[in-house]
Amino acid sequence: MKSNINAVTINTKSDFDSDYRELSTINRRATRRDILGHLYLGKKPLFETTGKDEVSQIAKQPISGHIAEPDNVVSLPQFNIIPEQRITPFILLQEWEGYVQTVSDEKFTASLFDLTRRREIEDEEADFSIDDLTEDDKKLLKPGTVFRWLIGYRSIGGTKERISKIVFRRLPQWTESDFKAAEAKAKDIANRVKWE
Amino acid sequence: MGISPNKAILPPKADQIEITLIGPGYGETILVHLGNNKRVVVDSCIDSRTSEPAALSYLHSIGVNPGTSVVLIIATHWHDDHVRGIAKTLESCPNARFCISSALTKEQFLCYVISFNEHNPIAAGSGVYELSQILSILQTRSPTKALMNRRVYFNPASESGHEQECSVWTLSPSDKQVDLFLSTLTKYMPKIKETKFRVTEPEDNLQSIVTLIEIGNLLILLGGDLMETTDPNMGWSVIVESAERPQGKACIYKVPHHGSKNAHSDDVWNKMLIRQPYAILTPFSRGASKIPTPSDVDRIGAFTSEGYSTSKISSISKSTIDRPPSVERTIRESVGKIRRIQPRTGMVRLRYTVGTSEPWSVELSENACKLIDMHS
Repeated sequence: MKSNINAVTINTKSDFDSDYRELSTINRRATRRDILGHLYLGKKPLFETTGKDEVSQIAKQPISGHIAEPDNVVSLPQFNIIPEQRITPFILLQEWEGYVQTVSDEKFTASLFDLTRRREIEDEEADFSIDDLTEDDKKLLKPGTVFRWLIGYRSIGGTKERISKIVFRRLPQWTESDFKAAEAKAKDIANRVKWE
Repeated sequence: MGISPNKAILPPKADQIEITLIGPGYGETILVHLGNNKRVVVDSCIDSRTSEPAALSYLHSIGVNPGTSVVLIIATHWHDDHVRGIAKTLESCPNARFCISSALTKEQFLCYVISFNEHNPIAAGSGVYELSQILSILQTRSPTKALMNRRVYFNPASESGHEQECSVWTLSPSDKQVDLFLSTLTKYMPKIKETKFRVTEPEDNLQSIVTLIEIGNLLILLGGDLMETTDPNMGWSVIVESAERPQGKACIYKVPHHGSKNAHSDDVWNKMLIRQPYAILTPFSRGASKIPTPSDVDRIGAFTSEGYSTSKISSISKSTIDRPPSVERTIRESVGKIRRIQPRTGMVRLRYTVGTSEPWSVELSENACKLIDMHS
């Protein structure tokens, strides 16, 4: 049986952290939408769904038993309101840093470096299904590509989910100055080391 | 059969030759006691029990000071599985000469090492990290280039502990191998505007050093990872046909490239080894590659019944790491299983007292086995 693997592309460590903030933000937005019980079809929503403004817009509506609905809003079933404090952040149980060794048609094999146990060398490997990756991540797939693999829990509205997540890292590009610096250093070392 | 604790901690006597092959399933180290507490270390891997370089762990376990005992360290090639911990080993052995393939001393390769090491995107180390560390150390020492048929160490009979002269030779790489290696290296260099990635290793072992140790008439052939080619100027062919190498036949053979078919040469067995030599190897298990295969074992078995491995193939992949049940469940559900590539380190040890008619003694650690048993 396969579980859901969420493949996410990020650029840097700060992006990696913000990925979790984003996840939390999405959940909060979903909660606000649930409060309103509406899905907006028009380009400009009737209510701003950010912070206090949302509440103040609602408060400004005429008090006539319910808020008047415009034509471009479709009513959805009312969901239970989920207080924000019931959405827990991602609880990390296990984390690896990995790099791709080989890629075949259906899977890629990667070396894994256990960040949770703080191993000094990568000493595990596993095969991952390429189908679990997004199209964007598939483009990054080649030997040497670096990623994080996380296993953990998150809880939304009392529902606890166990998550396996692969996060591909988009690293900076090699530049001409990288190579010039390497060439200069190589020359320097070649001059310093006295080979017999 | 395991090495009894009392025996394991005893270092060899001054007149004893000792060959110790250590391998965890990914990587290998060979220590050769030449006599009189002088040792050669060939390649490096990490001891799974101590997380230290295996050569240092072993020497400490038998009460030997690496700093005074190791006279030569050879890095046969720069693949991760042969250089893990070699910088630390070199650092711990200030009296040791360091020997590396001449291909790896070229500015072109140094540039490759520096490019990847300075932009390493991953916490785990790599072969280029080790080599980069070594380059720093070597700026204050005089390393030796390995060339074809070059004597890189000599110990006179008067200092050998057994009254036999002792020489260490490198039999490769050939000039053509060096040229070919450098020309293929450009294929692996990153390109401008390419996204950075971890260094990947060339699959071919074109520049691996083959080491021949000569103690009196006794020869020990350590095959590194050298592969055979159809070109008579490269691979094993050029070594076998060379008239400039010591022409005797070796009684001990470290089988090249973990016993794989592409490193095999009938001529090596027929022309460079005695009949029924001791053949020792470390297995390799990574990705889909698990060598030696059963047919590799059969092929080697046709040349000698004295084959030994540092580990069974079947015992390599089992992960023994304890993780919370929820993590284990998620691993099973998402990738099936995780394979361990650093299982417990195994060891094959051979000892012989020079000048006696006694045969070599063979000792196997807990994980080691006879070659014919390695797939059982």
